This record gives sequence, structure tokens and C-alpha cells, in this order.
Amino acid sequence: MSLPTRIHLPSWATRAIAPASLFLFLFWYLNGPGAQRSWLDLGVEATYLAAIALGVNLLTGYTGLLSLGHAGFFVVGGYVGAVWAPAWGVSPWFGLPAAFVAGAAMGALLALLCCHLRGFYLTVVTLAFGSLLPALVVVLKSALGGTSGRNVTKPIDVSILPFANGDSYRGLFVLSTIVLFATLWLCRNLVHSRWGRASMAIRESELAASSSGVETYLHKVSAFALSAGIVSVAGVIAAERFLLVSPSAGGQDQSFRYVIMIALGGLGTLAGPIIGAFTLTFGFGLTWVQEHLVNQQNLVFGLLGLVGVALAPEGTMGNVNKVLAKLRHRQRKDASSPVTAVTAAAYTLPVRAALTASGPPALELSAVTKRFGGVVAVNDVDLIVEPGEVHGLIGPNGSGKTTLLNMISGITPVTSGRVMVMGHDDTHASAPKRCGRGVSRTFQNLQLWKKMTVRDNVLVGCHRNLRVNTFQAAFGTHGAHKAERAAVQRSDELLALVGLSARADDLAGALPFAEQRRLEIARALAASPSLLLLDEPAAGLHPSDVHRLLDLIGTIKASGVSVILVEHHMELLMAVSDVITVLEFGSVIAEGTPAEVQNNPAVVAAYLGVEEDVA
Amino acid sequence: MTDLVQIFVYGLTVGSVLALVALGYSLVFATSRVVNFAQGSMLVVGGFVAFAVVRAGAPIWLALPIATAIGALVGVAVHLTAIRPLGKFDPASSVGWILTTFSASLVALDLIKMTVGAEPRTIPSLLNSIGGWKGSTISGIPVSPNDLLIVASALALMVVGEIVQTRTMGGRALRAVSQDPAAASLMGINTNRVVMTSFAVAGALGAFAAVLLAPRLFVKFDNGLLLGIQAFVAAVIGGLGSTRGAVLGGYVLGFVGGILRVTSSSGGQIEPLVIFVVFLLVLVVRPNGLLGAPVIEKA
Repeated sequence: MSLPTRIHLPSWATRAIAPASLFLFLFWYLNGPGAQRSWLDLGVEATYLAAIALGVNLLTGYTGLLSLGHAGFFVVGGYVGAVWAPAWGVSPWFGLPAAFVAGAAMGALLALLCCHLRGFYLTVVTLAFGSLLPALVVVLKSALGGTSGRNVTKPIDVSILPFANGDSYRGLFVLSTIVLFATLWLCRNLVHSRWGRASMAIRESELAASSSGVETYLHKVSAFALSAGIVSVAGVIAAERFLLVSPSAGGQDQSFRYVIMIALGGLGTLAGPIIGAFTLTFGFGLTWVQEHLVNQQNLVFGLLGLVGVALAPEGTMGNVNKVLAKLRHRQRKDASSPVTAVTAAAYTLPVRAALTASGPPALELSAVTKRFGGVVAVNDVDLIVEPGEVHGLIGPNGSGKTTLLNMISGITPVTSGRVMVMGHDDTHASAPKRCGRGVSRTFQNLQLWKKMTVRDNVLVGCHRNLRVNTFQAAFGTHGAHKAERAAVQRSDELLALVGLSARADDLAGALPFAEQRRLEIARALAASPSLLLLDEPAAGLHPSDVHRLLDLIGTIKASGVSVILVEHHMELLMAVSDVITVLEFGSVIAEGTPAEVQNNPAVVAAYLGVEEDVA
Repeated sequence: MTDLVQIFVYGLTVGSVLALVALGYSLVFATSRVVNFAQGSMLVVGGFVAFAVVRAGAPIWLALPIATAIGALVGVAVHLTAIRPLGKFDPASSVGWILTTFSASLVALDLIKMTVGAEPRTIPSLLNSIGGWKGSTISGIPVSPNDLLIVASALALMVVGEIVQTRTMGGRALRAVSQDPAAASLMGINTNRVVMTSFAVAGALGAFAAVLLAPRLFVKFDNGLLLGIQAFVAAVIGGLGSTRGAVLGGYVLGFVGGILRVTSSSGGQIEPLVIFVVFLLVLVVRPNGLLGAPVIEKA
């Protein structure tokens, strides 16, 4: 049996897949189960719930933010799209885009308020947001129609849609299905783009995402807005279905159902939300369930949540994907394709701006200090890194080396002092901004995105170079595809450089330690840095891997990139460094060439020590 | 004067109840770094269980311990069904536990609906007279013996909690687990049991508070979410994980509610909005709360 990792079709065929499957699905459902009115109605519910689940999945599954307030946007969409927009005299059809815009705007507003929060704090804010609706219903009684809601007096004329045959029930199903397919298409494009990779990077390690140039806060806001907009559009369809907008549909138990549908189907997959929404909707449509459980829906959803999350935390699709990945892995092993290695010497790294020896230093720190409460971690440090220089940074544990790197890369703000990067004052620039300036780094305790593939890890490294905005990504424009292809090619070159070509499609978490270290370097290089910060790249490596690292740093240096190397491996450090700075208790105690530093009595006393049998 | 009295009566009684529920959140968070999203539903469980016991003919004085005990059992059940099956996980970076604790609350609420019913109920006051005093009006505001009981028992519970935490072996174990679970378990402390105990105590506190509060805010399902969120906000204002902070936060929000009700006729209805804004402000200005320890993150 052969399982291709990726099916390649001619471009006209890939473009035809979505409309063709939409056509087939409509044709089948309307002539099959949908011929019965009750199943037609269930079909409408299943399709708009699936669209909701896909939208919420962008936020919860891909970006890793759990919202329990999205049902609020469902109600907002109903009011804006089905009640207010038609009342302004425009065609009811405009209700759909109006609902998207209104929902997205409200989602963005809520996100602006809460996206700096982590984990459950964000969830509680969304939960509290959802509980505002009953309060608003009382305050804005005339606009919202009190607890009983508002009737839809000017419904969309869905009977004119193809396949509807003049029947508005069939028409609503067609509309709902079109919305589902459009949502799926948008989500698919987004997920396989710069946007989707940045989302997953935030989910797996926000720190590394922001160091790789992802504006994490704004990105989370965009995920929030997109998901809220999609849920709002579904709210319009639901309002058309009941010809009523009821605020009671905005309760937290509804928001919870959205998430449970996704969790059971598979968080962070494209098919999962649809599977979850369809299974649960049609499950509740069964006669037996209607007779026995219709009043205990929360009980059923709660039990599903308890059992599902414990037994299958990755959901149906998560498990399917695991099996597929295993089969593919086995197949690749059998095929044992020859690895084409790019020799380090034959490859020149893409460098941002040609740095000249006469230009400004790559980095200039003046009197940089960091205090944590009463502890002075870094004290009044001056440091200059010239273009193309490998600058070693050593010192005993706790001497402030990593804190210094964090301040250079913008993760930790300085208490006082000035940070100049490439001649620009970047003292107060964020980590993504500094990445844009050309600062790139690796982490001492690895910060890879473990549930993303090796290639995707490097592709996120290209984030800043890959100039594709969210709209281009969502609609899969020609420019987006072109830029994507270029980025993939570049990532594959970098993977070849660090010897990971054969592992490109594996999950980063599955790599052995030494390869994870090299992957971090490839990811950092993908941002085409002018200044690369390596935080103990040799820690825990086998001697043969250290040798390989030595060659790699040589290649990086040869291409004109400046490097700051924090390392305890003296042999490596002395071999590659042009200049070495020594820190102790946060202060610089020596600086000079490797030979000078090795013979400096203060350094020997503080750090290197004396070999007793030298005499 | 009338306004001031009303603010004080409302602030002290409702504040006491919020403090007890917030204490539950903080206790569970301290031992497990998890927020029990089912904590609010303990208010519903406690109230309806007490109602069912009274309906069966028992006096309210018997209903209180029964409801409290069942609250503790539900707390244990939440721990066993929503937290334990997940195994080892990092609450800061995973969301599964939020889903399971929320699931547990939905299950608990629906079970109450199926067995006792969904309509709002009333239960009698625990205390109708203290030495012949059957309540009086101060500047036109009625104050009942039950109000005094709410405040007194809440304060007593907080004092007992403080003593247990600082003076007993169990309390020391709790603090050890909250500071470093790995080290605590190496010292022979059964961390699972400590966490389970915190869930039980949190559940008992919630159910107890519900019975005390019933004469004022009735027994109804809405209380679970609204008071549940308020109590959580109270815990965050005080600093999640800090027991004194939870008490402080509870009274702060109680008084905010009192002021709203006095100054505006629809104050009770816009309360969630105000609480929401207060919550966001606290998270921006002082995310670790008034008395919480700052969290140091390692890059």
C-alpha cells in the first residue's frame, strides 16, 4: 500500500475540488436525507454549527486560546445581520457581510482587552463577557427585545438560490452549506499559510514565536476577530432558521458546546470540527435521543466532555492523523531515499543587509543594567559586537549571560542603559521588532514548536521575510502561493545546511536532542539575521556533534553574520571566537582575544580555574 | 444614612458569601494551579440539596450540615472525574482541564435539575431570633439575625482556616504542596490527597455559603454562574492562591454590589458589566492581585 505524503494535482484540478464537492454534497443531501423536512432542518443546524466549530477552532485549536464566550457573537450576528441591517433598508443579503464585520469588530475589541492574558485568565474573561448578555438585554430592552428577543421580519430570500427549487427551507440549507464550504476553504488556506503557522507557534511556545518575529499580541487579536466574525455569520443563518434572534442562545453552555464539538472531533485539525458538529447534531436528531435526552443536553455534553478529553485528548482526527503519520513513517523507512546533503562550504547564507566593517556595529550596549527586585542580574555592561564578528560570552552559572541575551533579543526589558542594533536605538523595541531589525536567537532550554513539523518550524523562522498578509493568505492569492513556494525552498536549503533534510516532514518533538539544537539554529537563520545569538548551542551534545556545530558557526561567520556565542564548551568557544567577554555577578570582568582572556588572572580565578598538574 | 446602612448590610452579607466561595477557588488554585470552573455550581448544589432536605420534612439546622457534606462530596467527585483522569499536565499551557471542570459543573447542574427541579426556591432562615431579638430596622433597612449569622460564621471559618493552615500538620502539607509539589511529594506528602482535600473543602465552602445566603438571594440556577464569576473575580482581586486575598476580594466586591444597588435602580442588572470592567482593570494594573505573590517566568 502506498500512502503519498502529499498528493500533487494540476492547479485547475485543485481549484475545482471545493466547488465540485460542494455541488456533490448539496445534490446528495437534498435528494437523499434532506428530502424529509426534519432532516433538512437538522442539515441546516449541522452545517452552521460546523462553520462555527471551524471558526472557533482557529482560535482554540490552532492558536491555543480557549474562549467560553463565543456564543455571544452568535447572538450579535443575529441582531446585526438579520434584524438591524434589513431594517436600515438595505437588501437582507447584506446582513451576512454586516454580521461578519460587526462580530469581527467586537471580537477584536474584546481581544484587545484580554489577549495579553495567559491561559485560564483569558477563558474567564470570555466567560464573563458571555454573562454580560443578560445584563445588556435588560439595559437595552428596546433594541434587543428583552429576554424573548426580536423577530426577523425581513428574512433573506433564500428560495432564489440554486438547488432550492423555490423552497425557502431548501434554500436555507443551500445557504448554510455554502457558508460552511466557504469557511472551510478560508480556514484551509489560513492554516497552511504564514498565518496558521504563526498561530500554532504561539500555541506551542509564545516566547519563541515572538523571538521569531511574530507580533503575538496582534496575531491573537486577529485570530479572535476571525473566529468571532465566522460565528456571527452563522448567527444570521440561525436567525433565518427560527425567524427569531433570542439572547438565550448566547449562554456559556452554548459556547462550551462549540468547544466540545471541536475537542471530540480533534482540536487543531480541519476535519475535526466538522466531524464533531455533524456527529452531535445528527446524534441529537435521532428519535430516541429526542424522546429521552432532549432536556438533559448539558448532561450529555458534560459527560462527553469528561470522557472525551480524558480518553482522547486529541480527538477523533488527532488519532486518525497519528495512525497516518505512523504508516507514512514506516513507508519512508522502507523506501530509504538517499539523503542529498549540501556541504556547508558550498552554501552561502542569505544575509539581510551587507554589513561593512566601516558601518555601525551590529550591536552596541551602553551601561545596560537589569534588576529583578533587589537582585542585580546584569550590572552596567558595555559591549560592542562588530559586523561579522563572533563574540564569545562566558562566565560562571548565574553571571547574567542569558539575561543579557534576553535583553538583546527584546524578551526582557532593560532596567537602565541603551541597546543599539545596527546603529538604531532599539532599547524599547519588542522582540518581534528586533527580529525585524536582524536579531535572531536560539534558546538554552530548547523552545521548538514540538507539534509542528521540522519544515514548519523553519518556515515560521521566515515569518518576517514572507510578506503575505492575512487577506492574501485567507484567499490563497497567486502572490501568496509564490511567496510560500520561495519560503519553502529556502527552508529546505537551510534544513540541508544543518543536515535535517530527511526529517523535514517529522514533528520537531520527535527529533533527537542534537538535531533539535540544529533545528533551532536553522530556524534562527531563516529570519536572515545580521546578529545571531546562540545560547549554549553545544550543551549536552556528543563530541562529534560539537565538531559539526563548529563547522556550522564557521559557515555562518563566513557569510558575514555577527554571532554572540554563550558557551561553556571552552574548546569550541576558543576556536571560533574573535573576541570574548567574561561576566561575573552581572559585571564585565574581562574582554579580549581568546588568548588574552585565557591568560587573564581575574578570569582564571573566577571561571577557568587552574590545572593543578600544569607545573 | 439609609444608603450607608444598606451598603454595609449588603456588602457584609454578600461579601462574606463571596469570600467563602473565593476561598474555595484560591485553595484549589494553591494546591493544583487549576481553577475549578465547577466552583460556582457548588452554590446551586448546596442550595438545592438544602431545599430538598427541608422539603422532606427535616429542619433547616439539619439541612445545613447535609448540604455542606454533599458539597464536599461533589468537590471530590469533580477532582476524581475532571482532574485525576488527565494524569500529569501543565495547567498553564493546556486547556483540557478547563473543559473537564466546566463539563463537571454542567453534569452537576443537570443532575440537580433532574432530581430537584429547575424552579427558583426559597428555604427558611437558619436563625430567626437571637435571645428574643427577631431582627429590627436600622434607618429603614431590615437587619435579620440571619444576616449576623452569615457574617459571624464566615469570619469564624476564615479564622479556623488560618489556624489550620499555620498550626496543623495538614495545613503545613497544604502550604508545602502549594509552593513546590515535587519537593512536597519527595518529603512523603501525598500530593494527590492534599489536592483532593482542597477540592472537598472548596465544595463544602460553596455549599455552606449557598445555604447561608438563600434568605437573601434565593436558591436558583443563575446564582451558579453569576456569583461564581463574581467570586472568581474576588479571588483574582485578592490574588489567586492567597486565602487572605480571597477574603479581601470578596468584601470588596460585596461592597461594590451594595453601592451599585443603592445608587441606581437597575444596579443589580448592570452589576455583571461593572464586575467585568473591574476584572479587566485589575488584570491590567495588578494581574497578581492585591496580596498575591508575583509569578516569575523563566525564559
